[in-house]
Amino acid sequence: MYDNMIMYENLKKHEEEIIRCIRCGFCKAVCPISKELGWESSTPRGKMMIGLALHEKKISLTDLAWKSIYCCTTCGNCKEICLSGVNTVEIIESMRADFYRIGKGLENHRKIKESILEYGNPLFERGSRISFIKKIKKKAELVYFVGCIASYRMQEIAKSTVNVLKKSKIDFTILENEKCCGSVLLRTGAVQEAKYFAKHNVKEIEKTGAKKVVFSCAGCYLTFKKDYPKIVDIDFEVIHLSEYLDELMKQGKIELKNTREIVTYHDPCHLGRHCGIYEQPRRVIRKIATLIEMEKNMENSRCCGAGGGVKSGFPEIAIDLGKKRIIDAIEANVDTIVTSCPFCVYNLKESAKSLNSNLGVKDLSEFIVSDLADDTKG
Amino acid sequence: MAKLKELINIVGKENYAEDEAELISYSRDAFPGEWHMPEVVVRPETTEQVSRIMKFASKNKIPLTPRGAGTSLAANSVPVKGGILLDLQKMNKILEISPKDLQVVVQPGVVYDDLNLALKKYNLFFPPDPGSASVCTIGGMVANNASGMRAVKYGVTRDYVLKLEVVLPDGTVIKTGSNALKSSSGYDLVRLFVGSEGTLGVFTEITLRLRTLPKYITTALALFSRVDAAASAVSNIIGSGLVPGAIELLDKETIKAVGLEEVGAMLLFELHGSKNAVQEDAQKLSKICIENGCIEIKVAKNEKEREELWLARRGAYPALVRIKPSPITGDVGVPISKYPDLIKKTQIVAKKYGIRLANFGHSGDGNLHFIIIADQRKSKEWERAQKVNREIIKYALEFGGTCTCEHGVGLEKKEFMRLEHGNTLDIMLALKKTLDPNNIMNPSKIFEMC
Repeated sequence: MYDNMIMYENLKKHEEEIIRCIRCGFCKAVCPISKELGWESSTPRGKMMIGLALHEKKISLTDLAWKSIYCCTTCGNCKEICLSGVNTVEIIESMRADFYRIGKGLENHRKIKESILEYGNPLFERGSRISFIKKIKKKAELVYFVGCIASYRMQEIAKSTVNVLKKSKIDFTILENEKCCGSVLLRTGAVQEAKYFAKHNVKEIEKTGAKKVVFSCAGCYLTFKKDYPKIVDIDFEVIHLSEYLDELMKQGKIELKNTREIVTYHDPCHLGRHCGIYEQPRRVIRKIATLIEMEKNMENSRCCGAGGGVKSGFPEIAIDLGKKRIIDAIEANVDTIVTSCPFCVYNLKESAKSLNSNLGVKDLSEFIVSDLADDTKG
Repeated sequence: MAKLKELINIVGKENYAEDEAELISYSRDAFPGEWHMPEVVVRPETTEQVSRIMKFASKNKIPLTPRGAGTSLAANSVPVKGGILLDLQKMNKILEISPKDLQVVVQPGVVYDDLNLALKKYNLFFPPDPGSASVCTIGGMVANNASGMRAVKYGVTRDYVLKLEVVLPDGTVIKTGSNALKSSSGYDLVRLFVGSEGTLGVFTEITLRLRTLPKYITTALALFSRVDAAASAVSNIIGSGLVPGAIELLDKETIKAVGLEEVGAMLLFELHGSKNAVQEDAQKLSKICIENGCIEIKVAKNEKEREELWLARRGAYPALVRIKPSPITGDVGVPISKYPDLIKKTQIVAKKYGIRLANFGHSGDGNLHFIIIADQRKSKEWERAQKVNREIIKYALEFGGTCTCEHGVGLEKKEFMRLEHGNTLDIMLALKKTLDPNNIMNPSKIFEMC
């Protein structure tokens, strides 16, 4: 596509910021995609150059140009290390929004968008999200926002989370009409479409009268925490399950038994680097198990490979990156890798399988639920 | 372009790129200069492939620019004449570690930090530590004779290269140098190739000598009300026979940019050795600093304090590059006794042109990184910034120094080569002509061929 007529409106807003990139290349050292592909176009620095070159009409929008922008897990490690303080993730997402607007999205992303618009989830699921829970209250103090993956693909996470909430004796409910949070849409450029979902979910939560919403999914949490306030007014507290468990533990509202298991913790990028939640899940885990850190952890954590639309757009790359994280855990000599995001769990499980590894992969909710007293079960 | 496609037969489709988006990504490095796209990028994996690529380029007289991680601050890896961009990052194997001989053989694409991580198991390290350690490649370091903060004690890349396998422009593969630590045998071609910036050939195997890791390290920080007092302290420390692992100077502008309490200058020292020796050195060093008017000195008692003392230095470059979008990073070097005079000159010149300038550098070896804070898009400001750069370099040369200590000449400092080298430059040109008669290797770098 020759694109002298294309205006990159979103990209234009970031011109000043892209120019600040001094191309030192430090981002290359931490970018999972760059390490995988090696080509300069796959590095965050390369992506900034492609963006600026498109904006300045130095190049046309070639296949590689737009694919390189989509081939990013938005893990944020480059942003963390950037000498010039360039918000690479925001710039990449802006470029995606421009590409999307001119009809240059990835085919798989387009299908996912259609599924979200039609069924309210990215998984082409027509069935009920809430088949695992018998009765739903109309009003409650707290809402558990389940998220699409835990609703349809990893129900153990949803069930475990519900059990934990029951144990805490809090008055909670889940939404009768929850829809995709819109994270996938936002990460892949469909910004306008995402707005509808933000408004819908906030309205549904408001109906319950809840003052607090808890998430077991790092992606939904990030979207509510950082993206929703730009779209809609929010009058409730947004909290991740790991924060909530940490609070409950401090208040003595749940008791956990020490399992003596040896585990490591994988920081989901959307929870760690993007929202700064590192200590809370670790405090919870330390209470019941021995926590061994992998070499790359917290701010320097290695991305599982699934985020930012990479799992759907470039599934083989997602698995290759996931394998590296599984190897990190194996090298840490642990039985289980615990994380706080169903999407990380999903990709890491698949990656472990393709490595023929018997390493356990568990969401934090699943990990602790086996250690709760019996009355929380069922 | 049709002819360039023949390169696919050498490297395979997966290592060949001609998409504009790829080409533009290789059109610049960390130098704030123009964009120059290559016509094609290839990623060889073996010496044989490099040789065949070079033969092809020679036969067809196509310019060829070798590139490691592309972190050059002097445009060394920018393909100004288009042609073939040779990305060597896939040749990233550590071929052999010989702990008994304290040597290692690597391919050019090995990343500096990765090498030292592998060597750590043997209690060994490759000391020259450039600022881009996490990403730069050994090949790039050798091509630019790179170094960093530890050069004052351990020297530069050149001091560690024992042997090289080089592919010459016509595709001939040569091995030069020796595994013996000393050799009086013939011309030292290794020294010719180190720092040749990809203008003479491509390194495909590099043999380095190594050092054992220091047993104990401590850090000290000294504050001075005036930068010349700090500079004279450096001179006296070196004169006393102390050899710190690093002596970093930060001037007032840099300290201000980092956001610390304003003070005239700051010196950061590292001391390496046995615990007793380091402690003894720290006392001697403190005494000399105090004699030279230091207003405060802190010696780290543990690793945590060491880290804290280094924060200001680590934050210096990021803080300075955030002020305006296209900072110019100077890299001049002078004899240590001239260091205070050079700093004074930088301030005078910057003031004359109304340009903001900050200094920090490896003061122990006379290497000053002056940062000219400028915006390339403002043509008048950029012109003044260039003048500041030129005048400071000229002063450094007048003081018996060099236009570049560790970044290389690239495009940026070509104009000073005659001034710095006089008629010796003609010998360099003659050597270039002998080894690269068609001038295909990284053309327009270091000097222009007539």
